[in-house]
Amino acid sequence: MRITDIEIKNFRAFPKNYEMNLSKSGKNLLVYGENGSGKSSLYLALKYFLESSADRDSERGKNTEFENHQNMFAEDPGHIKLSLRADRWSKKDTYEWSQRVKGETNDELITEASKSKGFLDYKDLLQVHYLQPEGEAVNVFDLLVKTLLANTVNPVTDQTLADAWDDCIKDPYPRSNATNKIATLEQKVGEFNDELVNRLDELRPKVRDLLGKFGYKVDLDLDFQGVTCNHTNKTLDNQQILLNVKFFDKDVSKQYLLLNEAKLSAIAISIYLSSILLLPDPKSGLRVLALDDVLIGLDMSNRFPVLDILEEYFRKYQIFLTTYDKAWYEAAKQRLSQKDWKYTEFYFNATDEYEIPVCKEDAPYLKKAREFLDENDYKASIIYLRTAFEGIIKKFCEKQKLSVRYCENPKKLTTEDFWQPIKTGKKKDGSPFLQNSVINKIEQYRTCVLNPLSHAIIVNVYRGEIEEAIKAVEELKAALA
Amino acid sequence: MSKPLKVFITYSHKDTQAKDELETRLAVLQNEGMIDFWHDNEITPGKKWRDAISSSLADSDLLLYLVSDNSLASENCNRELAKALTTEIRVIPIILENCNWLHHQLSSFQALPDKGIPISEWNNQSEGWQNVVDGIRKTINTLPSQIDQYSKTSEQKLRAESEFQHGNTLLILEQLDMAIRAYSLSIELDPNHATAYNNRGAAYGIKGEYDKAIRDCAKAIELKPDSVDAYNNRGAAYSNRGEHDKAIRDYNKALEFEPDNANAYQNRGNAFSRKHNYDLAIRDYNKAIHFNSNDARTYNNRGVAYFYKGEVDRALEDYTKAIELNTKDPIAYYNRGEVWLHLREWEKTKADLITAQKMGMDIIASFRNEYKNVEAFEKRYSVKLPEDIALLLTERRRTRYPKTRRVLDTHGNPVESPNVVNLREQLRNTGISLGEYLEVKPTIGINTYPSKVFVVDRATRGKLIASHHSSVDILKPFLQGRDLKRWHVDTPHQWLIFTYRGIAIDDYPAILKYLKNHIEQLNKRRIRREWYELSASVRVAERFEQPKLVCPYTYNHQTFAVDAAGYYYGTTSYLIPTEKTWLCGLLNSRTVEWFYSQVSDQLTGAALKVRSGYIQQIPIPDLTPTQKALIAKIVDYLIYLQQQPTINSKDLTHARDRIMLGYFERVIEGLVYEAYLTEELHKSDKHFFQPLLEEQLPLCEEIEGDKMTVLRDIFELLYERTHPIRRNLYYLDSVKSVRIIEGKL
Repeated sequence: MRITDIEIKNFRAFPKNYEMNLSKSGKNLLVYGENGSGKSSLYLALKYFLESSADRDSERGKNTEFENHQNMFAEDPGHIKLSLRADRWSKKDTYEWSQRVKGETNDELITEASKSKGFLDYKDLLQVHYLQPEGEAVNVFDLLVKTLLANTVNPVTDQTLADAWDDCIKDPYPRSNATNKIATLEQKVGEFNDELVNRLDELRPKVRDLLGKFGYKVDLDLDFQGVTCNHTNKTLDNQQILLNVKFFDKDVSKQYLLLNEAKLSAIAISIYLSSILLLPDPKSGLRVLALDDVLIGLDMSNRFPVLDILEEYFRKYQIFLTTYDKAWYEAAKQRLSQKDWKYTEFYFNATDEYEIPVCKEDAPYLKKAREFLDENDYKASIIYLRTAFEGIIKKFCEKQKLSVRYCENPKKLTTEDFWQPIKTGKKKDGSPFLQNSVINKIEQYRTCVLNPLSHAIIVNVYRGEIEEAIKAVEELKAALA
Repeated sequence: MSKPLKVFITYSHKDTQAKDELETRLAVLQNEGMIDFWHDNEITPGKKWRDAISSSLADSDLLLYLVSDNSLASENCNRELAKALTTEIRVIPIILENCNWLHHQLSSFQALPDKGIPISEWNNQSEGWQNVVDGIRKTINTLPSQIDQYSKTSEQKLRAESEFQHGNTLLILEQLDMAIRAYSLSIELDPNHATAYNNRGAAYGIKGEYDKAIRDCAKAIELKPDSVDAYNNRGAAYSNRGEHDKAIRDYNKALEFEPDNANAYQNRGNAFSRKHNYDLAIRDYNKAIHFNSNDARTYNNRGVAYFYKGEVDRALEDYTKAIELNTKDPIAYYNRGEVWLHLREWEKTKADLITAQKMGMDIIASFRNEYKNVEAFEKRYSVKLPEDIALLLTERRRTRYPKTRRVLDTHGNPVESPNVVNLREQLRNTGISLGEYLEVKPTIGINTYPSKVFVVDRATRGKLIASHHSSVDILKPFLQGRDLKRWHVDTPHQWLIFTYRGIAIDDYPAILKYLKNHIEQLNKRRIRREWYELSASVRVAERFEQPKLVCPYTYNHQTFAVDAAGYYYGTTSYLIPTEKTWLCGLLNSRTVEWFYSQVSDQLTGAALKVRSGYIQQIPIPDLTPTQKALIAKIVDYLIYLQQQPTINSKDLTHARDRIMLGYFERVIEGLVYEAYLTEELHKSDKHFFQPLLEEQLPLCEEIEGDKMTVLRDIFELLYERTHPIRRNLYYLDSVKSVRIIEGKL
């Protein structure tokens, strides 16, 4: 079962109707979007849609009323509609969640999808920045109980870990003569301890497994000794899960110094993904995994392993990945197969009185570059222009079978590697591929507009320059055609 | 006369005598070859109709339904009876006693004895019965001619009429929705059927849908402007909506056409009374009594009017008369008790209030409605109520949590979501009730007061036995409700001195000597027995010593345990004598807990209290022996696990064992859900019995070697994330009814 169409209207950042088709086979989706462009709204649309069937009384329940998410500027009532297909040949079923239609997402299919889903966003991972080493280890109790494992469900009580913990702490600590209340508290804490110990035992091997993919040669342990009731101070003590990391090939005296944020992020992602992998498969088979900007905390070199993990372990899932890092987006696009993935880009247009996400997916890059220039969005225009340029020269090299610098990993080839042979190459009749004038123009803009790092220095680019650059690339395209 | 009509009689088992009487009297008709007894069916509460009965019913021509509170109380039976009835079967209700539905104005309603005057209200009951027999004879004689008459009109009218009569029958069976459907059909076939409109209006009125009731009655009046019943019914609907003036106008109209209609007077009186116009009300009640002096309600209502006017003597007189005419109405008792309360006749107050309460009236709520609470009453009337009466009118235990259940609307009907109501009824219909299922009735434990004397510890027991060996025979291992937990009963460390009634105490000299030390305390009991005796007879011993399920008298969650060891229990425990351990799995399930908390009115705070009557209503699903054995098998695992040290410790290295215990409980939960909600679970492809049976789990007692190791392996197998049991448990709450039961919808 896969999602094949998404329709979002007047939901949060989406003030108008927005439709997306993920093809009949229900492809995964990779989204590039600037901040405020609505990519997080897409993430939340999916999340709340699935959760709208959840228990209304619970903490999760408060998001289940569509009214709370209606776009502020839109007067029409909004909605979210998802269409699902068992496979490309079967009939499409559309489910709606809106102010008007409430019960539809109580369907068994959606309820099961909600219980099997994985949704992690960058805010969840921000916590790793505040983790303080205690002695030689890091206490990840809050990170695990309140965030990463918060929504995992106890197979016995059917209660989430966060709710079970909340049950332990929500009432004031009982007075010393309230023996019944103390007994109840001790029982709750005992059950919480049992559940968490058991959960960590189940997680450990899987986390090690995933972490291995990151190329960190580490062994990790999550050490939990159980929360204890301190009747004297009226506190719950030992709220501690110590993250101990052993590096196989390093001296271990000061390990915690090596636990930088990037590594902690990798560990956190591994723990989260492991917890999802431990869930039983739903019968209906709709399993959604959405990661909103979570890779941003990782080093570039450790983002590809995440894609490896997704491909190896999450084949049965429909995956939604979003990022605001254009370079990473382009890199990931190259890496992920077009058969399984759809790519899309969100921009916002600030010319109107409010910001509207603009999503462009189909037009050729050059054309889009011009469109964005017309909309005064220089940044977007440059990104498209560069992408168009790279595409043109790569395609030409492949077509002409030009010898390109050998590289073990073809994805590590740079634009330069393709540009050089074209610049110096000759046709069969001995004449050069390009006239000097074209080469000069391209060279001129390659340093600024067409520079892969250009998004960082974008502020200094003038409109005229971009226009000239577009013309140059158009000329190049015509010359190489 | 062609061949005799086949007669089918339905009656409550409590009315067997009346049924025998009727049969004797109908022997005449039988001898004449007019009728032939086909079958009779005794209604017992919760009984299910067997196919045989419904098919023989389908074959009969005439159904005689003996109407009484008892027969009407059997909802299940009546529903099934209603379903089995077709329009071809002629139904004659025979009214044995006054019932609620008689107060509604039904037109063309043919019941016996004439005018629906119950047998019990005939001064000479023999005459009443004769009237019934004559009525039946008349009906049989007119049956063919009726059909002739109809055939002269039209086929459609005939069908409309038979649907209409069918609707009437369904209405007596209190199957309102079905009755409304039948009337609607009748109206569709004959759009000018005024009485069908009227009766449908009455049915809507009973349901509390007053707008529809008013619309239907108005239509009936339009079609038949002198329809007294329709005016009466519409008036009642207006009155229930609080529109008393409109109601009074309707009653005036009814009285215009029929100046001797006692019901119209009574209704108008009620409307005046609700408008606080007591003089006019009393005038109307007087008229009503003039035309019908046998209606207890009229006296009661007139009493209320007198009471509010301050004429308490007359009020007392009227309530007493009402009670005389109908001894089963708690309201009149309560009202009279209220008068006594004002007159400071404490003993009489107490007697009446307790009677009303015993009859099922919520006297505390009624008191609260009028006076708020005891303190307010005392302040307002500068009086100090005796403690026992104050206690009687005070809520025993204040609810610490808001009650979410039983919210009442303005008509006093509970507001419940249809989801909940439907599920409750669905569960009710999954099988016979526990009460019927059990061979021996459940009971509570022994009153051991004073427990400090009768219940002894290990040391005292040792001394008593050492002092004389006979003591061992009447020292019984003893438990209180608070000692109980789920599944397994721990070995007691207290013993009860079981001096049953009629015991030869001299055979137990050590015990006698011990008890004599406490003779003062024992004598305080003021009992009509020997000073050393318990209230229990020796027969009670049987109940304790056989295998049983036990649970504490109050609990937060279902807490049944299997006791095969023959322990004795105090009054804080509830005992179900049975060997069927699978019942323990059933009774500990969330499904049963939900059902019980729905039907039991004992929900105070978060705790539930045992009320045997309600516990016995718990439906027992119809399972195969294999299925029952499977549940019993896992119950046995749990009993074994409960006794293991790793389960009872807090050591985190054994956390997995405790998860195992919880998981096996959850497995039983799954089985019970499948037992009750079979269709719904199977529709979403969730099975528990089948995959579990395929695993061919061993019986706990047959596991050789280390049972714990084997049980851990079984747990790991069933807990594996790809195992169907694990998956079906994890996604169980995608089933709607499960979500209702688990409080997620």
